[in-house]
Amino acid sequence: MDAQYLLSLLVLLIATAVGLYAYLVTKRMKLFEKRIALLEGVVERLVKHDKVVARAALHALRSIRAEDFLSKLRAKRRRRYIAFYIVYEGNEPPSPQEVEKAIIRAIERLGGQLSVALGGVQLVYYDPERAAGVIRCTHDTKYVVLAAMGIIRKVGGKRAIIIPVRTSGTIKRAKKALPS
Amino acid sequence: MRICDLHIAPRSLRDAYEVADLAHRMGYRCVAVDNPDPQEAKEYAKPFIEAGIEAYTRVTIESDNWGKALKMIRRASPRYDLVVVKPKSAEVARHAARDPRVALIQLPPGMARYMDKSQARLLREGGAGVEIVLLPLLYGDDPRRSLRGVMIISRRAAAYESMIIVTSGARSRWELWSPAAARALLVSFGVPENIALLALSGYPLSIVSSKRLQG
Repeated sequence: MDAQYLLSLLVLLIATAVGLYAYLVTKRMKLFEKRIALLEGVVERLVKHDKVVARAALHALRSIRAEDFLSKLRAKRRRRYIAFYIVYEGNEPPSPQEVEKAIIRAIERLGGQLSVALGGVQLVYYDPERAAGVIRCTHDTKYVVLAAMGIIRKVGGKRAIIIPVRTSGTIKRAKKALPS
Repeated sequence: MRICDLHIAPRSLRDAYEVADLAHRMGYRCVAVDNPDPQEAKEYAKPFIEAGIEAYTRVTIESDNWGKALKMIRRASPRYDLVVVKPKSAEVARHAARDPRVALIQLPPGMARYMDKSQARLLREGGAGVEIVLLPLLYGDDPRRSLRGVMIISRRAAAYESMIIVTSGARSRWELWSPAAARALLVSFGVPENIALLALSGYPLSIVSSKRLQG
């Protein structure tokens, strides 16, 4: 009788111990899961932050590249000065406004308005006594401007031909090339 | 470097004197005077010689039949320094290119598509060049069509390594093109700079020296 009682008590004790152990393990597992979820959240936040950082870095790099590109563009925009003289009909030479207008209209006719805008064409010097002047443009539109000068046959309603003498990188040398 | 304009067609002696004066100022040192009458051509060439420009005579033969064109070429070649053919059909363009008496083939802008690989080969065999006349660009409200024709001819001739000769076709001094403008026009069409320069100096001079000897 005593032995049976003792055995049942032992079984009860073992069962209680196992149950307690199981309870403790489950509690730890839940805690562990919670910690893992917390860690996952932290990692996600870190990844998000990293993405923001990476995107910001990419933007910075792009803007640096854009700056480089723009500075290269700025450096490549070289100016050319075309010295020319005009052979005109009658005794009165054409005015500077008429000459500039005729050249710009010819460029528009040959290369379109985009060529005029890209070329930045401007009459920088004109001597009505000699009927000679200097026109400024960019190096990449030089040939279009020269070709446009070829198709001009009238300036200010009178017959005239514009004859290019020399293309130069400085206004000083362009002026030197003008016929006296 | 001698700049040439192998197509000047003054209508009077006064025009010839004016063109000669301006051509000399522009830097031309060699011209060819076009006239259907050989005596008049020689007479109009005199003002150029007086101005210090080498002057030759030339005639432009226009035909759509090779048989007729051949007769005219036979008749014209002893009388003129240069014979130029303006073809009106593909047959004339092909045959004229091979003929040793023909110096230049003047393809009008409307016949730009005839300037192909075969035409270039025939031109090389005959030693002739393609003439690009800039006169049509000065007239008409819309220059797009003539510009396109001239652009196709010049690009194709440069690509197939044929000789391109740029001429003004000036009848008076107001139709003369300055060499820099003519060269710039070719370059803006996409022709390499060195070829554009050759079209004004090297090619015309070689045509004149080779075809004059044959004539």
